Amino acid sequence: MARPDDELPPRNDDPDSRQAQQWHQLAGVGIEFIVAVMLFGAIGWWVDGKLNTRPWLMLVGGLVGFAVGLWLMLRTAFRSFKD
Amino acid sequence: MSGFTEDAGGSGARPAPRAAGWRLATAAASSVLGTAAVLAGLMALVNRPAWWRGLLAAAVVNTLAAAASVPLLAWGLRRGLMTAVAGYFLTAAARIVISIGGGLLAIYGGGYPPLPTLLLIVVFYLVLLAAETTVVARSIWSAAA
Repeated sequence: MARPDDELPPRNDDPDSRQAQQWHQLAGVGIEFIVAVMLFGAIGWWVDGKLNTRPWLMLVGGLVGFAVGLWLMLRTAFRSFKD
Repeated sequence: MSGFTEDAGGSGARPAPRAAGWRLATAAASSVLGTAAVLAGLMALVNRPAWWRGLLAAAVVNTLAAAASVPLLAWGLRRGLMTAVAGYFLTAAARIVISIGGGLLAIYGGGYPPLPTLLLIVVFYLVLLAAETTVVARSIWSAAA
């Protein structure tokens, strides 16, 4: 029968894996930001096409996406500073 | 994100070396030039004028974004870990404002084709993000170790 310690996943304390983890966390901020802006902008673009209001709803969508991306970024920033 | 600050102990335990600024500038310039070269190769195969124009607009917009973000990031890296992380978050916002704002200006002000311009801006943006993040993560790691 395995001991409890054997069932835990191995800890990755080596420099390469920690560096990769930091890279992943940092890059995630930028990726979330652009995905939010592009997603909301694309929704606005699509609705613009339906309502024939181009480009105004795309701009509104982009601004909403920017606000969402900013909120996600600030949340990540505050968490990182708290840790 | 505990890995960023656990050894910092304040506004920055040990500043990253000055060379980090040069590494950052080199990485950003290489990413812009490399992406432009690869995309130009693809455009040559596709051979559509609208995509060439989009590539031009995206390259200009991304160069502006890189020019704005590199000095801010380099300044943060020289001042310490906490400032480096804060600078990274600031540049993330600045980069996206310049990329999206510049793209919209090119489309609605300059008459560039919307789809190629925006898609290529996203490609440039992601490559620049990866290049800058690599340098910043390495510098933070080496300063914290």
